[in-house]
Amino acid sequence: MNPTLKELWRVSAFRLATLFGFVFTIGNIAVLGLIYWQTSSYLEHRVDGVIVAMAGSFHRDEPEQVVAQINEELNYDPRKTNIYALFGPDRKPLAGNLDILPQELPLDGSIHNFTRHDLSESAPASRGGGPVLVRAMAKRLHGGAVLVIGRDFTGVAEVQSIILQALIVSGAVIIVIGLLSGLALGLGPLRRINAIRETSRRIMQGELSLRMPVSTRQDELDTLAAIVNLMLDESERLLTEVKSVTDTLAHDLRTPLTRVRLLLQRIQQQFLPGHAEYGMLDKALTETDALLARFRALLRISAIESRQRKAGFGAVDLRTVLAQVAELFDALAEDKAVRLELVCEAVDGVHGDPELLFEAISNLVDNAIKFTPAGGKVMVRLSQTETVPRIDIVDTGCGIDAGEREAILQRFYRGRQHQDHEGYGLGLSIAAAVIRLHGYVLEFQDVADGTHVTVFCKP
Amino acid sequence: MNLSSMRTDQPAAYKVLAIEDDPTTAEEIAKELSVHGFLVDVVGDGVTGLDRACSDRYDAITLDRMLPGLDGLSLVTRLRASGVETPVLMISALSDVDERVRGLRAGGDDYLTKPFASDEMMARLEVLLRRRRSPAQAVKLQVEDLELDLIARVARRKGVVLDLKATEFRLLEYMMRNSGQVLTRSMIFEAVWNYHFDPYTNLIEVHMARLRKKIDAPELPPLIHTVWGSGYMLGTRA
Repeated sequence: MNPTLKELWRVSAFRLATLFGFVFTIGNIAVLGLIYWQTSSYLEHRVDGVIVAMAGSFHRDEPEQVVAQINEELNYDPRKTNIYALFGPDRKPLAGNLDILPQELPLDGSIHNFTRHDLSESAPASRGGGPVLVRAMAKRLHGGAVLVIGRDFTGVAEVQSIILQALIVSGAVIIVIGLLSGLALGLGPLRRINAIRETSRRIMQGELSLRMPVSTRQDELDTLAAIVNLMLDESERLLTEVKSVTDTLAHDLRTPLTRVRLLLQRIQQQFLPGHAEYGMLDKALTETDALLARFRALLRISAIESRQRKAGFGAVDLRTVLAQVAELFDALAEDKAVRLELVCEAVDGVHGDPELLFEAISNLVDNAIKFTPAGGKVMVRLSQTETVPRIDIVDTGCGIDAGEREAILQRFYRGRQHQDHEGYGLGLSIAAAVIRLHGYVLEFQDVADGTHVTVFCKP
Repeated sequence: MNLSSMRTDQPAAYKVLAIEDDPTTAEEIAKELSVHGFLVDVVGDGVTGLDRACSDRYDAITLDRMLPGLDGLSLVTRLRASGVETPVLMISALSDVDERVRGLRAGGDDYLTKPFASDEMMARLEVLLRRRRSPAQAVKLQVEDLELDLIARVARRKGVVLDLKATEFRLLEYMMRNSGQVLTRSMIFEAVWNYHFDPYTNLIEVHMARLRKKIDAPELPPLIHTVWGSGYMLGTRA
């Protein structure tokens, strides 16, 4: 079974690994950010020291002397990382390697950052073009001229980009490692959880002897599985006990009851029909038969419910089954003056036990006929939904209250308003048991008149 | 109607072997069989049962499925393997359809679930005994003035063709093949519809009533009889 991403995300190990990946990435960002901050302030500090030293050598105020000194200094700066410039009081460049006095540079004698957009020939461009970060101070000389002394500060930008690259690469590596280890850690538990899920599904289908898989690791999943297994042992024991009590009871009561019935028959033989005793014995026999039938039905439900293997399962042609049901019941319907109608469409074949399906549908049809008054109609319709065949049994009888529809499928339940009808109320339970065994769905449709039962034959 | 009275014309009493370990059930079987004039031998375990079944001549055997020594399934398998074709009625508390199929596949001729009514057992045994004597390949069945042509699929009473539906024809055929014998509702349901669950309503009665209406016209003597409590019989009353 291939785990989907959604399934994987539900595994705690996978989630943890992914979470750790993100946490490490954030930590990484913080560490690299700190390094960047420290490095840039260190670089700034050093550049500022250089600029202050550079400025210290200018102690003359006469423009001519300053210009000469600037030219001299520029000559001694082969790497062209320093900026020296002199501007007239009208901000006209007088000397140096800066063509324009930048607006953002205040003339207060302290050091500021600014970005150079001009790039004259002598510009200290370390890169081919574009804006260049510069750190510089500007001060006004006597006479209004402005002296700018600065230094190329692109080093900081380079450090920034190095750190950013480190951040991206290391972040990506951490996340990939996190995801991969999460996947590795997550697949194992996921496989085990899927095994547990499959086991639970089969247990729910009636294979009560199955147990959850327990590995040798004894981790939390194993602990949990062991607890569930203990619980399953106990429920199986209780279930078997209850079932065997019910079965034994039904079985043991049937034996004496069968003998009582035979005795009643023998006694009845002594009288001629028409005798008062004959009639009374007839009633006693009917009641005994009803009791026996009820016990038989109980045992039958129990037998169907406890069926673990699907021995009788094979390909079933629902049309044949329904035709047989209709043939079996048409005499009964006719006798009750109820019209029994069978409508069959072509449907997909299904997998099931034909005899059990016949029994289930028979019980549903039997009930429909039983609760439909003379002159009414019972329709059995076989049709194909988009995915599965469906069987509808619609009658014009007295209907079932919406609140009673679930309860009516339980053993022994009988609608209160149906007290006057014969019937054991177990027919529907048998049908429900068979339908559950097949994994089909039994639904009561919400209709105003009569009852409408639908069986969806899930494949 | 008394069943034993019908068999006064039979030359010799039937001999039945009852292999049953539960004394109460064994007694019940023996009593019911002797009431009907059968000779009964009761055996309590599988090994002796197989021995007796192979050595003596019996007309029929009732066989419990769970026996000490040798279980019923193996017993009937070995019995058939050694060429003994005596009809076997298997009696078992295992009521599941699968168990019935296993029992019949092993060589049993019929399968009865415990607890059973002794008249049900009697009726089934009678049918088994009768089946052995009657030719299976008949093309025409006749009971009194009722005729059933199995090839043309036509039924006549006193030469008048009866209009029967397919189910009614099958039902009549089964009853005519076993005429003069009590057929219980569950036997009819099994034989005609081939289903083994409990038909809760009076399904068989309704079918029988319909068939009866067609066969037994008011002016004719009735051929289908209801046998007190347990079932039906086709034939003239003794």
